[in-house]
Amino acid sequence: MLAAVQSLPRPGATGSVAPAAGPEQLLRPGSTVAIGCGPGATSLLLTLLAAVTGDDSWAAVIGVPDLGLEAAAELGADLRRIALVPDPGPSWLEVTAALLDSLSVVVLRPPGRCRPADTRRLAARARKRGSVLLIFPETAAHSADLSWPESPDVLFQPVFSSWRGLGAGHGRLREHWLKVVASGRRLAGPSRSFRLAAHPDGGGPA
Amino acid sequence: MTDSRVLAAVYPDWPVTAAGAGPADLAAITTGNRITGCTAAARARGVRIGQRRRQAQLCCPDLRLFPHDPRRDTSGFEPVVAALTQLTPRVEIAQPGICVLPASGAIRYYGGEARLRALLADAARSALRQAGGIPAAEVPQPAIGIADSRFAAVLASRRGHTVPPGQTAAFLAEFSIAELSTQLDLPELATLLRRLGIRSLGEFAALPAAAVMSRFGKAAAEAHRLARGQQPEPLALQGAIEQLRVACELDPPAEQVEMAAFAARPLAEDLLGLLSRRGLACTRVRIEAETEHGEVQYRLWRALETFDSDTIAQRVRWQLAGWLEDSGAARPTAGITVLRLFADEVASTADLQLGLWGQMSETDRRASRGLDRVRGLLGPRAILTGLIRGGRAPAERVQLVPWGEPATGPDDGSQPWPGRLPAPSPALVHSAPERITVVSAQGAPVAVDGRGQLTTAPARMQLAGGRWHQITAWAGPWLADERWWDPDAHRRLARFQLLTAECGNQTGYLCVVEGSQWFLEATYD
Repeated sequence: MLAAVQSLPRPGATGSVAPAAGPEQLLRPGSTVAIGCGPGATSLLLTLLAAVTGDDSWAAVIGVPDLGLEAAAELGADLRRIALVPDPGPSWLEVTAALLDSLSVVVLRPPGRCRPADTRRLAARARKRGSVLLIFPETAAHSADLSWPESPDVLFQPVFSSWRGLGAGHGRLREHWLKVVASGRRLAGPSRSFRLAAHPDGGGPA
Repeated sequence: MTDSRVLAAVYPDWPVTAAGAGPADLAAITTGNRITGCTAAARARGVRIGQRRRQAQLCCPDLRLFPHDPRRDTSGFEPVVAALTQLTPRVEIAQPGICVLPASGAIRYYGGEARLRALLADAARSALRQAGGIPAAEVPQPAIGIADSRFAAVLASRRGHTVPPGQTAAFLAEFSIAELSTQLDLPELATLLRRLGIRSLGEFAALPAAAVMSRFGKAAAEAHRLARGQQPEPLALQGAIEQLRVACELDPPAEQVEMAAFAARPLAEDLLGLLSRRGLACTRVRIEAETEHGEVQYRLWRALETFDSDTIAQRVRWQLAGWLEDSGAARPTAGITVLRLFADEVASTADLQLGLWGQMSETDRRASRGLDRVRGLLGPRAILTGLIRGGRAPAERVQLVPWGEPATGPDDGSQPWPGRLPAPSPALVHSAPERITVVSAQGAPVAVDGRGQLTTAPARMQLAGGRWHQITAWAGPWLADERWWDPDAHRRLARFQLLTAECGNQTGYLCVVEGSQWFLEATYD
């Protein structure tokens, strides 16, 4: 259901680890992926949303309020194809399933701990429909344990986040450098690292 | 292609009539500060719809003003609808003052058009006279028009015309493009077309359909069909429609409007949920109420485009008010025990999407259906999309609108806003800014002086939750002096970017100072 996996055009890429392959390559249709807690997790999410919607596919974000949509647009997201459901209420399971049926990527912040039966059901739904279920936990949580009992097909763990451009009383935040390690049982080969640098003038991540 | 004819019975200026004013009186209806209806005599004196109240009073100092009251409009119209329903069953209320009914069968049954017109006009007049809200001498005659389509029939009623079958397009051609605004509620389209030199419906109809669709979008394409005299195709779902109904019981029986109306909204949401799960939206609803004694009243209501649950609930309230508060014999003798809603006419949601695109791809359609389904589950405000707007504060830069609703308001996303922070924008924008504390190395609070400069260098910040973070870099101020011309709304804000580090990882914060208080507006996560 995701449009054919392809790399984004990379204006002004500067020495990233894998210039043509961003993390969105690992969003295989039918899989369940997760973003680990760590610094820069939200930027990683926005980068993935930009890659998905930039490709004419649709994404929904369930249970995540306060998402910086302008940042997403700067990274190349098409805001018309992002549907936000900040408060799904008690029927979050049904809502997530309904959206997995019709959209390419569904981002879910699970409300508290989930029962294994529920998570298996959602993962199966994603598999059947060829969509991607992306688990995005609370950013404030500092435990390594996701509130998702099943281990995902791919885990994107942000490990290092730094900003350039700000000095002591001068400058401004210009560039965000984020290192992400992807691991998981579905990954062919060992874990991969991505360095994402978002350049405000260039537009997309490198 | 059907050969059914449509009859429209119209009371022009119904709201003033319902308020008790005759066409020779000087009276007008106000909604808020503006005139939304007036009598013919007032119009002759220069009163116009859309004017401010004061303007209208300038041209006509003796003008009597009535506030907008849809309940009064509906209650007043109810006797007319009841009388017409006696003569032919499928009377549809487009809005109080305008009803539409299928004419072919009735013309055959009553032996000719002239006879039908006379019967309907008489029935309406005696109903209004009996109801007593309007002085007998001033009870108006309804204007009746007959044509192939609803749109044409309402316009034909202005001069009491019958448009011969097949000549609808020719008849509509001479009407002004402004009818798109008054009849179809598309004022922006009307203005745009007028600016492009298109003044009449005929000129609009002459444009190629595909060009209208791709240039102006779905709503305009629908209007284009109407201008050409075509009706939207009804969905061939007759069998399935019987299933599209919901009902609820009221226990104890409702004797007052509010008690029954309270149940209406969840019931409407059930109905719309039922429809949206099948990819349908409701264009005409039948609202039926039954009392303990078995008395039943039903009315057909047409939506401007499609119904949402609020509008259906509002129609229920108006309809029940008309019935329960009737002064005559039609008033029920017991409380209402059952409320039923039927989706009397539906349309496929895929066709009705007020698209942001002229054409929708299959992916878009599929996504639309899924989002509609969820909207049916959670309500119309649960799904939002973002539109970039202008503004300085990060929270103002993006407006969240319920998905599927057209965007309104100015789009200043590309305009410069001095004081606005440049890209990259923060990944998290807190809808409720948090109070935080920022202190210097010595522990003293960091303040902002009259020019927006910090009094000392910030060293540590404390967020909600109590944790202290070391500040490793910072910059600012980005100043905003907002609404300096309005002493009550004047705000002076200074924004700063602060960078903290923890285990080598850096997080940026966008903070704003107002007075002496620091707030966290956004986080660069």
